[in-house]
Amino acid sequence: MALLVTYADKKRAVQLGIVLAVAAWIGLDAAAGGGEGWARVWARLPILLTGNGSGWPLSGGFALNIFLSLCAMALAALLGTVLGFGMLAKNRLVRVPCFFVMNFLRNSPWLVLLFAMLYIIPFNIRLFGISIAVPAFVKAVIGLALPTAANFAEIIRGAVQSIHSGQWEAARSLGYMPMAIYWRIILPQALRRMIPGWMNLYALLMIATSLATVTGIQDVITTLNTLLAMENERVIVYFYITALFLFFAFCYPLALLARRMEQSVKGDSL
Amino acid sequence: MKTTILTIASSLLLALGLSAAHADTLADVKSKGTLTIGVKNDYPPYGLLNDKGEIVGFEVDLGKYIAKELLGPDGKVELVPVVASNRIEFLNSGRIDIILATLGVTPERAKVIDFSEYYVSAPGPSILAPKSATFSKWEEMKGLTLCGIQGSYFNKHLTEAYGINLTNFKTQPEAYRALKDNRCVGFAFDDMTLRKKTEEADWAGYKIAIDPYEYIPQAAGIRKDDTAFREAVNKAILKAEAEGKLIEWETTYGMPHAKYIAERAEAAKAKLKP
Amino acid sequence: MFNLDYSWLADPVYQGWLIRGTLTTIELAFASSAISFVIGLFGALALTLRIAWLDAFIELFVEVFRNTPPLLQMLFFYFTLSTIGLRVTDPATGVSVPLLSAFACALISLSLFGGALCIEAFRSGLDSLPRAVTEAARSLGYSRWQRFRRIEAPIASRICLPALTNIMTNQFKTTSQASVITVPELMYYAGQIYNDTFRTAEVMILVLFIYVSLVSLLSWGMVRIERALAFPGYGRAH
Repeated sequence: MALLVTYADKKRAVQLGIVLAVAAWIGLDAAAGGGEGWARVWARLPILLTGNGSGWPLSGGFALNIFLSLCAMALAALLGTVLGFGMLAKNRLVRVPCFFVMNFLRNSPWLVLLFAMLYIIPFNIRLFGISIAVPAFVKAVIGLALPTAANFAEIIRGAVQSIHSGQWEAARSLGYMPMAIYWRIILPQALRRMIPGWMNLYALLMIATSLATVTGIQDVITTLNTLLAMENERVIVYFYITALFLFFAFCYPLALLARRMEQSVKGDSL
Repeated sequence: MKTTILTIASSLLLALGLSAAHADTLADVKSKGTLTIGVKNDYPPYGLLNDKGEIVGFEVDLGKYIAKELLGPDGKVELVPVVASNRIEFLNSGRIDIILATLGVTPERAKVIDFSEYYVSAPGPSILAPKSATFSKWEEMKGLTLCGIQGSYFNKHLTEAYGINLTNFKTQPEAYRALKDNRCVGFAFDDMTLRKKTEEADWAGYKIAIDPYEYIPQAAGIRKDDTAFREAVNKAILKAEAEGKLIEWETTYGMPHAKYIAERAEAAKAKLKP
Repeated sequence: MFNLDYSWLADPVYQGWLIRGTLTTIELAFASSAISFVIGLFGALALTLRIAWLDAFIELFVEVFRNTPPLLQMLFFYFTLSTIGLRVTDPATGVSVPLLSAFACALISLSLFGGALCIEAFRSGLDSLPRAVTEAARSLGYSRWQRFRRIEAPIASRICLPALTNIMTNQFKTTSQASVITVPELMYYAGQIYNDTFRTAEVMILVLFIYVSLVSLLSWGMVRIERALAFPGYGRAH
């Protein structure tokens, strides 16, 4: 019985060990004077998380990153769906331009695209004589949504095309109309394959929201930078670790979930 | 290869397609009833956040005064915090109507915007360095690495005239940290800001190693060929000077009384005398 | 309203900056890709040994670097490594300066980030080897090393190629973030130029164009390599 320690158990034990060791190191460091650093982080944590010293109302910080990622994802889903189905269209005049837009957006760096949007979209848009201000946040949403939309579209295309051609032939021979084949046969199966991809994409987008600091919005990196101006050098390390951990704590569970779903989808090929 | 060429071509097409526009600012501002001003919020005494989190300062008061002159006593102001690297973009794209944000008058800037009457003469860049630093002249800085801030008007001059290697950061906190880290031998930045820094306890080990090589006038930034608006702003500035408002604000914000402002006040008084 | 003004491009100073910036970008991208591949290769090979404690460390490394922003990693390396001791004394001045330059910090951070992605890619490449092929090799009397060198590596590397293309283009795109820690690459010089000329939209459009062209060329080249290396008939499901 004693030999029944499996590989997975061992690995889990070691991982637990690493986590404990890190915790112990933090504890030791805290006892050796790092406690002061953590105290500074603790005092500033509400600002980092919500952009507000008292923690409420939400006005920036990590909460803004999350909000930004949600807005950008929603916009990207909209644009990406149009683009994705555009790339699957039979008509060359639709398919080819969609394909190039997708390629262009996927080949541009997120940061550069964000910067370009920041400077290309005017700060004021004039519509029927009314001028509407475009805040930096909206530009950040657009700037991040564009590359996300391209990836979103690519996931749609990949999933639809991964459905075995036999499915099309079988449906056709059963007398389904092309649209009906899409809606009743292909998409329900493809959707199962798209979802893990979208989740990974969302995690990637969340990570990319860190770039939004260049638009000047009060996101967690901007806040961090402002806070650090008031702290001494020894404390900086603790602040950076905290910020890194915030992103990790948000994105890692998403990645885990996506991987689990990928595994469950893997079985149902054909 | 076809895809690649077409992708590159489509990016060129996109590159050709975009821009913005604007109109008569004075009429606009009057119809809105609000003057939108780009100000600094991290630059005492010109624009800073007070304890309540409001933006105040020498230039903020000037902006409020101009708004009252243009729009009457009910005139409202909207204060938009700007930094050196985005203020001209904000103005030209219409996000703000006027820049009152420590804007130095330079020929490069005059190509893209117009300036109002000059209201302050401000020192240019100096160098903040550890007390142990041995340099004391700009000419000694050739080939040395200095920290700087992207978008400072003097960056090009420092590189070209003095052969300084500038490592430019986006924000001041980063540059200060890099200086403390000895990533550069000094920090070339606006003299007044650096002098304030040396008064902080954390910066006791640092000094202004080299003084500014020039003084430059500071003015409000206005969109090009916006004549009616510029004249209205100029009139308001002259009136403020004649009434001694600028000297008053110097006192409010604890600035030393500058000869330049006093002289301009006298000149303005003489000019506005009926 | 095509009032884009590109007259600043005639200035040789700006031309020089653009060229130097582009070269630094390429250098950073290729150097970090190369290191990433090495990390990925060793990481994935180590994983095949199924040593529990080693795997635990590798997996942790992958997850930490995959799930945190590269921008924040770079800032972390740039601003904190020197405060926790990575410093040297400059012999010329006697001043203690950070050991790692901005470029080195960016390179390390990009390599580790890319390396984490590479381990994943190589691992899934090795995983997707058909069991029958390795068993056939074993029954033909190949040793463990021969099996890896002659059978597994050639097949797995071809399976991984698309993922590697992705990682390399991604690396190229991510280098732009190094501008934040003052690495003088394309984005950094772009900032310098538009701060001088105030032609922000024009500069950004040009820089976007340069990046898209570079990345498009790179992925075109990689696809050519993929095609040239493909086993005839292998891996084409439908």
